Amino acid sequence: MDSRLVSDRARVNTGWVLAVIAMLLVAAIPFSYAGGVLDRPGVVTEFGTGDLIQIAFVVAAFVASGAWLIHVRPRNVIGWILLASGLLQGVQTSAEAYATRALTEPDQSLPLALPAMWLASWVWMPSLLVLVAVLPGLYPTGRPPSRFWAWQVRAGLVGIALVVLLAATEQGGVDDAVAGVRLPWDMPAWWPWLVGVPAALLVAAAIGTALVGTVVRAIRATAPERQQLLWLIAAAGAMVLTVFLPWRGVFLVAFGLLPVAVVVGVVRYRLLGIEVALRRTLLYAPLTLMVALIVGASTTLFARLIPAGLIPLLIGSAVVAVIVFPVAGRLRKLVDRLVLGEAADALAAVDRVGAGLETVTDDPVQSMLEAVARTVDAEYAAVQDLGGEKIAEIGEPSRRAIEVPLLHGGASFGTLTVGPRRGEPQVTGPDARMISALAPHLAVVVRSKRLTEELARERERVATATMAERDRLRRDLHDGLGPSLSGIALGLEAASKALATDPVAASDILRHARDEADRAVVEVRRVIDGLRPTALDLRGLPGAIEDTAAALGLGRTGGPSFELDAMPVRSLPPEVEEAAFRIVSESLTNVVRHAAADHCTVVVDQVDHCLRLAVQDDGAGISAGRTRGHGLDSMRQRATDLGGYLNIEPLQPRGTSVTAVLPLETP
Amino acid sequence: MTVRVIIADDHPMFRYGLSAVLTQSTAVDVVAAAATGKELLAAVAEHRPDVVITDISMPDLDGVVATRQLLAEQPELGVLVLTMHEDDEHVLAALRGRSAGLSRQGRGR
Repeated sequence: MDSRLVSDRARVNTGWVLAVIAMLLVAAIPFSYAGGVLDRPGVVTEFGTGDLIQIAFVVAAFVASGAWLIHVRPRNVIGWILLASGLLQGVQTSAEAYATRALTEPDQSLPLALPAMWLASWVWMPSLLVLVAVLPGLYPTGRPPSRFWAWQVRAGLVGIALVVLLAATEQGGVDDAVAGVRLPWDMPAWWPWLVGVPAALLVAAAIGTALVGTVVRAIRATAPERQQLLWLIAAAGAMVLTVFLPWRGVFLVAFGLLPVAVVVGVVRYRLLGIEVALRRTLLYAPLTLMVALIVGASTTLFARLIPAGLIPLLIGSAVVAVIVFPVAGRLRKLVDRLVLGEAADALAAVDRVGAGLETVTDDPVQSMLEAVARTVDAEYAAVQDLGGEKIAEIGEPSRRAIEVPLLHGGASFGTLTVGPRRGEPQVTGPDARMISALAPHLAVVVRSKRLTEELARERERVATATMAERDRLRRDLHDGLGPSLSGIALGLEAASKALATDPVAASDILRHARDEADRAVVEVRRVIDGLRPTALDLRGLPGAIEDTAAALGLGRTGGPSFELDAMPVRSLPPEVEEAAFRIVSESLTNVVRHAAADHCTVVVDQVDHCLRLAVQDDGAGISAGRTRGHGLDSMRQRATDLGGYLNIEPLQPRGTSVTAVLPLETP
Repeated sequence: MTVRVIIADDHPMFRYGLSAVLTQSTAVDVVAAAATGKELLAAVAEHRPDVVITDISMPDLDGVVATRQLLAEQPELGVLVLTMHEDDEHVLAALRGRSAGLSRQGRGR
């Protein structure tokens, strides 16, 4: 059914029609046996209502599962295999019923009696063999997962064909229902050897490889293929476990669940959580068995020694308590390894993480975190920055999560928090190792994001400062120097005219002009002094302070030692930054010039919505009368201009403390 | 007959220089000088000049507003507005029809 000529819709319709036909065939069985057919001479078959229900259940399970799978995946051959198997089972049972009636009909009035019996004698074989010899090799995609499996599937198909050839040509089986029935031909004695031996070899090889190969595949596979294969293995395992039970019904239920499990494995493997179901089963079934055995054995044992009352049972329970818990722990680990698999594909993990980075997204940290979470199939994952703020998060916080520092180049960039796998009580060792291995890559992403943000912020800050600076410069030139120079030019022109007529007036005008020129020079100096220090734009406030301190000789050998403790303050307004820098550099100049200090400390931090600056030295200190001068007035002026204040106080036993508090938002 | 002129500019040297140049001319009589818009209004009311030479940006009342008020009272008053920016010219566009001239400080007169 690989042809592209057939539309998916036609496939779906065909699937459902065949399913209905199979059920109709089953429904026809009671009519074939009606009227005392089973009591006729020569009829070997026994058939009751229970048998009919069982057949109907199994056939319905196969054809319905098959048709539904075809419905959702028309091009997946698995659905067709399930449907075919169910259909053939329906054909077999109904053909046998019809042939039983037709062959024993007194007047032989029903046609095709022998062909129907012939059909029933062999058609059941492919219906079962295809499930064990072919289906595993095509599961779950409908295509062989490798060339090896392609050969396995071919071997299975050829083997089944040979088996059918042999069964359809030999006498065996045609007399199962009605004694004495024979085919009208007889094959030579060498025929079974010629066909049967290769058939048996091929089918045995195909089934053997399918069983072993599927288990190996499941062990090697990673999610989600592993979960898909587990569905198949669980269904097959249920059949193997129940086939030898005395209750045939239980086995039939398991057999009927096989197609359901296959469909779930193909389509819905994630939603139903096979891991959880399998882990619980594999954990609690052996534990229950063990408890039962120990209690039974020890109770019996102690009952012989101490026949009285409850004591043997109590001792038995105590033994259970002592043994069960450690065993349960080990068993859980074993089961986890079996079901969840520790052989996570490292290359695939790296691939996924890389893919998370390749896609253009708004937030590279978030997409990378998603890739990490997918890699270990975690329901919860988060990245926190150094301040504890979550910068990316997936899922609901889990108390059982592990935390890994995001380290890069010896520096930490935050914490990665990852919860356990779906259905897991805690993060397993291999998953933890995987998370640790991915953390540095995440750290690089977090770091680059932070750098990008810092760069944008810095650019913004410098741009704001530059604009403010340009505005002030324009104002200075427009209001001060411009008219001043114009006035001088006008004055000079007036003076040159007056020189001949009124020398006194000319001299007066020239004096005015010269005085103004002097003032203009002072003004130019003031404007230049008022320019924002370049160091602030290049190095930021802490860097500019360090530069100034170094330029003043602080921290140099032989000079006073210097210490700067600057807390990073975000988005410092340019005027505050500039005032802060001028206050600190003025204070440092005072320390160097007047204090004769051994040590000087500058602290820059943020208190509430203010920038606080503290310059302290252990020098000569300032007497009460000298809190003016030394630029202290201009420092105080800068602080009050911004709505802040400046405090100067002596330190004990010696030294001076200058503290300035500048509001970060202009009032 | 001399032209009676009042100069208004907040910069003392510019006022002084302009006044000195105009004083050189016998046809011009600088009757008063003002540093602000309000001073200008007061000086015009007191001296009734023929022409006012005013800057645009001045404290308390800028040259544009002052000019508008003066022209409303005395449509025959000649007003010469001085500016240093080309940016200011669009502000003056509205006044241009009514004031006698527009000069850029420091360039031409």
